[in-house]
Amino acid sequence: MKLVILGEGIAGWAAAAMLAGALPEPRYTVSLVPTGGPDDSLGPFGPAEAALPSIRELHVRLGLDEDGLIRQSNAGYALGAAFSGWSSAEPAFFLPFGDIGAPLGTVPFHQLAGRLRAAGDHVRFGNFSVATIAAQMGRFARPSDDPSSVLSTYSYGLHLPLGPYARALRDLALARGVRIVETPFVAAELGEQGALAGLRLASAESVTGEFFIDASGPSALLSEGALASGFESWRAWLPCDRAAASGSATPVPPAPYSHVEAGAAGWRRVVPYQGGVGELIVSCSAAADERGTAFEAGRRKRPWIRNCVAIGAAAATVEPLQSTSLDLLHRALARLLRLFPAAPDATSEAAEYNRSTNEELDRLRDRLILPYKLNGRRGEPFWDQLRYMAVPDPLAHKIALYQSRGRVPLLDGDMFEESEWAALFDSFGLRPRRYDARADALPIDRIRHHLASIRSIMLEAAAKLPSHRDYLARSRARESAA
Amino acid sequence: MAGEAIERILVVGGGSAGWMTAAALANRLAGLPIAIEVVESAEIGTVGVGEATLPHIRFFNSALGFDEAEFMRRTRATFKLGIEFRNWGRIGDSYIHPFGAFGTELGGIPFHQHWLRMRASGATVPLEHFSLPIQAARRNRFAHPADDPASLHSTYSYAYQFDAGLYGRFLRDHAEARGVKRTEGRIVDVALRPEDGFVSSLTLANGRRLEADLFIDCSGFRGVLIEQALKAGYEEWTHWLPCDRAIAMPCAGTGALTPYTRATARESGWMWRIPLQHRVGNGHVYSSAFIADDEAESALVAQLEGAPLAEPNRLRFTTGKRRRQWAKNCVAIGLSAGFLEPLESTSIHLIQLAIGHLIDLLPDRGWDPLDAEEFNRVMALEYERVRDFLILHYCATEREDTAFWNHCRTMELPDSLSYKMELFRERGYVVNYREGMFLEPSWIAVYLGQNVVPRGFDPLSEAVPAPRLQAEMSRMGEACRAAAERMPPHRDFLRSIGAAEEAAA
Repeated sequence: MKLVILGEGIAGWAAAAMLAGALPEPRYTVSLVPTGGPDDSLGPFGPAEAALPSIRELHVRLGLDEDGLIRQSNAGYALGAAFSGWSSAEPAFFLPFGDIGAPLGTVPFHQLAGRLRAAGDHVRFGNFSVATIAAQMGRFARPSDDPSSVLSTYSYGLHLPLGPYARALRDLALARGVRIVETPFVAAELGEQGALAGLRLASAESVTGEFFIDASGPSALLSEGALASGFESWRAWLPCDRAAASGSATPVPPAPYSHVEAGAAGWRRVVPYQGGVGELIVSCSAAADERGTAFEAGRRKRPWIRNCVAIGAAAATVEPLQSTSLDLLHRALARLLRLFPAAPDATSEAAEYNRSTNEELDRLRDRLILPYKLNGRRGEPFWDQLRYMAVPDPLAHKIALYQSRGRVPLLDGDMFEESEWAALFDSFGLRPRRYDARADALPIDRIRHHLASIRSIMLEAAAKLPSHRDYLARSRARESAA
Repeated sequence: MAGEAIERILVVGGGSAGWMTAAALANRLAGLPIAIEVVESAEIGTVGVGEATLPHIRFFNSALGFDEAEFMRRTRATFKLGIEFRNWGRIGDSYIHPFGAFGTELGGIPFHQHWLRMRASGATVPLEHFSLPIQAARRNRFAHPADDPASLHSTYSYAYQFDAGLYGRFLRDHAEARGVKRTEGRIVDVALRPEDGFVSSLTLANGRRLEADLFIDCSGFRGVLIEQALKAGYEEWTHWLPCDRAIAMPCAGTGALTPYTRATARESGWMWRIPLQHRVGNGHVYSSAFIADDEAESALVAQLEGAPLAEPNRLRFTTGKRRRQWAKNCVAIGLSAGFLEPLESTSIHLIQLAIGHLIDLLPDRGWDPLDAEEFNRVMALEYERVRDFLILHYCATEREDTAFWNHCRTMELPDSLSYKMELFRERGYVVNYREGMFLEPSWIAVYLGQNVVPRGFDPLSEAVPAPRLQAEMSRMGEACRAAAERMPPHRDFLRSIGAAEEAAA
């Protein structure tokens, strides 16, 4: 089977490397056709991405060495994301990669916090996470494998400058025998049955294929342009529609976290990496005259249509407020491999691919809506209006049950866990009306002691970690020694 | 807190559901000023179906601090590695749904895909050769699984087959020792609060009134509170699962002490065989539309392997679930919440799930309706997903020998199931969800065991070269066989850990 990928960005190269690594030769060949423009395969959200910890599984699957990436792409490590200007309860808060607190018996940490707060204690979630504490100190090391160590309770992601990262993926794909077509794409060619038959190039030649991957970015040249998949807009809940990306060099050592700051008409994210920072401004054109590339939040109705699967921003345009661009790409590729068709006409596989993709994207949409819905920026028209919007039912149910008793109902497709939802709710000052009755079975001083002891163990452990700068230097040295 | 804490919980009914609930609540709510009381009547028998369990029961028992050997001695329990299904796909077929995986994945591709590939190229090695629990079960051998994930012995799990009456008694002792109060009496009246329809009290035949904040209805099929008083409604599934009667009858064990339960398909239903230390539980589940009660009973009696130990116990049921398993201040657990035939031993597990969700959503006297709403949402999902798995056993058949099987083979299926089956038929793909107790290996066992053979397989499996695959597969098969041979006989293992009740041994 001849596979043709459209788009020479991160999404296209990642797909090429992954497919060429997994598909048995010589039955399958993989070619990549460029679109000729800048890389918007993950949306107009450059110039660097703060990838979630799941990126490491992607790299293992791809066979991409992390130390090598740190050296060649100037990537940095990440312990989470700092948010400021969003919440009236917490002017600044941190969403860490890893555990917050620890349960006592069967009672989750946030329920223990509920009991203490009801007794008048002040509990700040951020004080009970190794990732948060280490990020504040500018320290980093990879977590411990020993489950009895407090240093095993956190995780890490990567800050990846997108240009060098795309080059690393391209090198990998080419080494695996992916054929790169030099001339850019002009138009899709349909076969008699209405499926894709080939891609016509600027040279008037064609690249024919049996199965296609559309990695052409938000314009979805194949899925939408040729096959009219349809688009489901999320604009009613996610009104930001402009993105402006820029990068700058700096000698300042990178912080091991990204920073997302809310502004009058949207938000601004800074992703530090070695030798520079990437800045992204995402805004709503109706609320401010910001420059930038236009986009519309939403997803394709059928990401797999006919003999074509859309990935990256061709499948869904998701602002990187939760740093999910690469995670979604990884999930799409893993799902495509699980359902990889034996023949180009694969309606059962397409149905399952679309069901599970759409379910996942809709739950992620809910997660993105939450910070807008709960924002504390009173007196600013853009934000005031968002606070009163009606949200989709599954999100309304999550908010209601959390407010009632601190529980978060997780549905099929939810990619964030209960503790991650609780951390976000808590940061926005949502306080459950009730806490878990089992917390009352514990003597309150035992809960207080539990929290104090977590805090001191974490502080002590974090203080012994190397600085992020030193750890980066060590990673680079490891790679060159190898 | 939004409302006052609840102070009294009354569990109505003392079968497996009632005592499991009382014991778990007493344990998990220890330290809270909540009084737990069970009201049961010796006049009302318990159903006692559900003697075979799923591996999750071990977490339930260990949370209560039970010593395995003592628990097994007291309930005359045996080990269970899976369920053997006979005559389901075709008369003469036999397969085991094991508590464990088939083979190990190769090159990131699930093992069964490699097996399908080899099969497509003419190989005839049965899938069960690659399952250690099946290999052990076929030999009537058993040993505990290992913790080390690198060990072949970590690829399976196990459950128990026990006397549900004795298990109830064991749980009762445990619960009473932790302060649960037991009251004997038959309920003659349920009083509802006029202002909101909440249950306020129950009246017993002796005139005593019992009050509580939260009522747990474990009264069985009748649903004394949830249905008779609160009219929660019932969703029937008999059009997909037509069996509506069962006859249970224990007999002396004369056959092998199998570490598995057997479910044998019959002309108009199926029969169970559950071997315990001191007897064998037998039963015939059937559809009254296709066979008369007396005929069903004769068929059951005719195939008993030993002397009957009790009169046949006839039961009627309607497969389905309560529309609201939690209504007002009443939560239904067990048969009052719904009935799914014991084909996959799910009764006790559904009780366990309900208890877990109830504790997670324990209400206070503010009675926020969200607690009930969330409980009903997750429990409905669990029941529906078990339902689909059960229907698969009936519809995936080639049997044409009776009107019953003709009906099952040709009935219209729930969309959720036909969708899953089509994906498996196409390429052996198993649809996974966040909730749902049966995972990929279970679906694979039943699909392939009942001859739902995919038209294709995962094309990526061909990335593993055929000679390497053949070598790996024969190594795995041999390892499973050898490991099973090394396990002690089931009966010896029971004795060696002190789980055998001496009088029965």
